[in-house]
Amino acid sequence: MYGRSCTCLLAISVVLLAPDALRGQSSQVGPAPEFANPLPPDLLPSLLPKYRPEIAQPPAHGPVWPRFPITSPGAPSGEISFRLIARAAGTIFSGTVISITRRPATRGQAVETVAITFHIENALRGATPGQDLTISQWIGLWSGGQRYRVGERVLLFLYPPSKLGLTSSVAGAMGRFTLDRWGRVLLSAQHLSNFRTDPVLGGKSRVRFSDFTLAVQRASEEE
Amino acid sequence: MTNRMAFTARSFLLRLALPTALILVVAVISRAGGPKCIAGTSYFDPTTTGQPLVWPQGIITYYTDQGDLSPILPSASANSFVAGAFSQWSSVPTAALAITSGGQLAEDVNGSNVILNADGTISMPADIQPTATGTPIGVVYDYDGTVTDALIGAGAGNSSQCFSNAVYGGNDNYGIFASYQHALIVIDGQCVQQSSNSPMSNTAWCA
Repeated sequence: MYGRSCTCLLAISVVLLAPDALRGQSSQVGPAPEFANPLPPDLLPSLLPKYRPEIAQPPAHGPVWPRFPITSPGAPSGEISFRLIARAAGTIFSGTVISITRRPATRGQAVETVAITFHIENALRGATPGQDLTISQWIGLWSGGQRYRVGERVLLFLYPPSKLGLTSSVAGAMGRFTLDRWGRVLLSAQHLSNFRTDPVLGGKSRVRFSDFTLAVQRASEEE
Repeated sequence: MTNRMAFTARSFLLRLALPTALILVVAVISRAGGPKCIAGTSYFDPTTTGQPLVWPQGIITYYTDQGDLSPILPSASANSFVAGAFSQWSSVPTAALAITSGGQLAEDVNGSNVILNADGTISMPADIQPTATGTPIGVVYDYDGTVTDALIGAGAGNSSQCFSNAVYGGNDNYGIFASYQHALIVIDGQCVQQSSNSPMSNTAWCA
């Protein structure tokens, strides 16, 4: 009898307490923009790390973007092949972000951009190892989520620079990989899902750089 | 008697541990439903630091391109498509946002008016620039993908890149009192070339 009462009490406490601990169902918010000031520690003490909103220092995310699921006429529905990404890229390299500079729009400059400089470690296409490469990215992409942090090590597939001199990672997050401390390429869940049939990358969550290079070569050669 | 008390205590603790663990685990894996952005400390008015960024008065007025989106979505149809897309969000019962069309932009935005000048500066129509707060949201119908090529990178507007570039955009101007002032949305017409890949034919939407 006592046990049953306890169980009921605990069940009720779960029902009552759980909603207090929950905070909605939005997707996880990423870290604050690189050129944002850090959130003052006393500002939002009750916010858990995963709940912390982005600090707009501009740029930042907007609240309403109608996006529809995309099917490319040339690709299987919902799947992005590694070959497609490798072929679209004009520059492929791994490196470390060493600086980020916002270039505001001015009277003569209609488009606001962000200049991101990488120190290139390994170059697969269109770059040289040891080089400091600066790219310009449209601010709209930055505020839409394509952001970098100083010190971040990435492997990037970049579109060739446009006539405006702007570029970005091919297919957004799909053309961007994180490197671990040993220089291995880490594949996200999205990468794993889309590249599962790739003969080199399929089913691997981390790949040696040499293997990744092989995958790029194969993808570039395939017809 | 002592054994029985110990057993009861253990049983109670076990039952207590289970829901406690449940609450903690659920709390940890839960995601935020709060503001997307808050005002930082260097650009915004100090009195707004930490406040959520919002569209002024919760009202969004958007302006659409004068051109066609694609052969199957000429201007009027494209406008209906955009209105439908926005209404998916404004019609959410708890949405504190009113979204209305303010009409059309002053031009057909295309690759010929998003250009690099001889001095290296970039020009594009005044009413889609970050400073164009009179047209707070510009919706560009990129008929041939050339605007996308210009903004994202060469080849990004190609139909082979529709998996990521069919619709994109972002905020590019903020008021110092924690408000959004301007944003630009670009829809790549190369991704709407036949009815089978028309956005109208899709059933799921996300933000």
